[in-house]
Amino acid sequence: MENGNQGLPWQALVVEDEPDNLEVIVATLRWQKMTVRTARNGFEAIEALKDFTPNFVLCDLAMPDMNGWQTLTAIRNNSKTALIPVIALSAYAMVGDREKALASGFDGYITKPIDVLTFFDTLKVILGSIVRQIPATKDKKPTTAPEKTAEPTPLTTPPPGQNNTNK
Amino acid sequence: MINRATWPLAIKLTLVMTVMIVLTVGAVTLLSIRREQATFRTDLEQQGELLLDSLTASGADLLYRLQLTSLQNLIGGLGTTKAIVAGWVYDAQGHVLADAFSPDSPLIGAVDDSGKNLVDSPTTVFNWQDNQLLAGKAVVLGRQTIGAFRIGLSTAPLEAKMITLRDEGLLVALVASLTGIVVSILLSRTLTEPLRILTSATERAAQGDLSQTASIRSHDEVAILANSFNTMVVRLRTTIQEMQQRTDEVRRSEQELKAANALAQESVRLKSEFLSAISHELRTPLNAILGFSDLLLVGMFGPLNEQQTTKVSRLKENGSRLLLLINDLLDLSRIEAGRVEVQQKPFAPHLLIDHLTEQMESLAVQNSLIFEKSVDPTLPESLVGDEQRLEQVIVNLVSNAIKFTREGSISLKVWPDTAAQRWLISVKDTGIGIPPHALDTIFEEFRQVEGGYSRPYQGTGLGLAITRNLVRLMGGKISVTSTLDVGSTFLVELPLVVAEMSKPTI
Repeated sequence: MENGNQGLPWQALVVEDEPDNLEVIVATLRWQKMTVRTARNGFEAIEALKDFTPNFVLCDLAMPDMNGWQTLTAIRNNSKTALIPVIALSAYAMVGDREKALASGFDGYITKPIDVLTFFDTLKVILGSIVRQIPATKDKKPTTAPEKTAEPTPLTTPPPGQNNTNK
Repeated sequence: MINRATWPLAIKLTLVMTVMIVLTVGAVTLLSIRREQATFRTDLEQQGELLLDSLTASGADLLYRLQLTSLQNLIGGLGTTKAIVAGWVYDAQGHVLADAFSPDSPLIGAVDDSGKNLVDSPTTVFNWQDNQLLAGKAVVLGRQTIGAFRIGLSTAPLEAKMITLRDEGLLVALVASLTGIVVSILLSRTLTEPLRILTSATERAAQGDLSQTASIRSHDEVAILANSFNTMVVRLRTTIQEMQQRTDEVRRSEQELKAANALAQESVRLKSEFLSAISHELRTPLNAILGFSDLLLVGMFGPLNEQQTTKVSRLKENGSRLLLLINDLLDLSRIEAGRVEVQQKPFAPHLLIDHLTEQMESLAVQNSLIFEKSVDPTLPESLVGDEQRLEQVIVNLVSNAIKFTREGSISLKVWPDTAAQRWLISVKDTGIGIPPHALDTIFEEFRQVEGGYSRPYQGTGLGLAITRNLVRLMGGKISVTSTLDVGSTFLVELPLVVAEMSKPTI
């Protein structure tokens, strides 16, 4: 069951330092038949993105060595990965935490603990709301058709696994 | 031009006194000179009279016999007396018979017509001239005037004496004036020196130097003034010191207040940071607990049997409660930190209650309870307030009531009190009630009533604390009445602000 990848279109990169949480998130995504790669910190994430272009990145904020914000900056500063949606996944739930993360450039903010049953819906809402504005500075070097690689697959067709939503 | 009004008092006094002294001394001198002069004249006239008498005694016989040579000798002999500068002898008709002059006399060769006067005059005739006194007298033998004698007496000794007197008088006047000036200077000094000391002390005080006082040793009005001045300066100094002290105290307490305020702010910040960290650290393991529970329940890790499903469900429920507690804690800390702002927007209370009734009713029914609702129709259609926070308050109170009620009913009542500008929400239950000693503390954090009841009253213990804080934020108050084993009634009073109905604008 764990290896539920049946060649479905959605691919995700999960960046999380805590193994149990990483496993929960990976299992939740795989339950939705997604292809998931993992990274335990920002360096591993940057490394993984060299030969992997996911539909989105789920990124923890509080991580040792290279935290979520630094990882986001690194992803945005690389023209190859700049347009990949990056969603913060954090246990910081105080007022203003979400606003701070969104202001610093994350495309979405999901608080832990996640709700396994509604997680996919939440992702769809976030990814569907992304409006990309290509920064002028990025135009210096013509990107190699970033829209094509970074845009998530249209979300009109719900992936299989949705029927599993039981109460 | 020198303005005399600005002269120091000492100079003014000295001037006035000096002028008076000079005038007095001058007048005295003048008077004494004149008196001396008068005395001297009288003396000279008497001398003239005596000389004429002796001349008459020795010359009357010669005149009678008209022995002219002898008369000439007699007259000429007069010149040996230095005081006599001229001499004349007249006959009965006033003609000059013989005369004699000192060599420097101005009368030599002058026409003399005074003889007639002398012969006719019964008394001695005096005639004062520039530098001589002419004294003449008729010579009477029996009853017949036979002629007259006249002599000229020099006034030079008189003049010399007058000059000496004048010089002496001037000297005395000078000495007296000088002495007077010195005395007046000293006198005005003693008068004005205390005033000068007082003046300079006043000036120093005016410039803010209150350390010195005016020391005056006399015992007059100036000394009284100086004493008053000194008293005033001392009082002023004391007052200023007191004011300074008070200012210092105010400043000190201000600083203390600032420090306390900073400390309070710091502690609020620390509390907030602490809660943020706690929340983060609790949520992280909860993510694994709840996540794995869900994944187990959906069969992600293989099918579960019935017993396993039940246990995992319990695991998930407990995890959820923990999450609820964390959320409540965060909510409370936000309210206490003043980070929650209450909105003031129009909303429809009737619609809100209707909407909430659906939720509440199903929750009550799940717990085998009856839910009753009564909203006063006179409650305005539209009020101003924070609908979301109001909903939180009502849900909290109703949930709380359901939690502590085993059987019976929950009733929600809403009505306006227009006179008091308030509207009220009451939530009444038929639950376990609250013991009287707990009524005061029921709204404090973690103050759930402990009791030996079979059913566990699960909850975070923060619901009522949050509710009270929210009600206060909305400008209202909350109270509770309760009877043990009968039930409790929570009453919320809120300010009644009717929304302005934008009537037929559209």
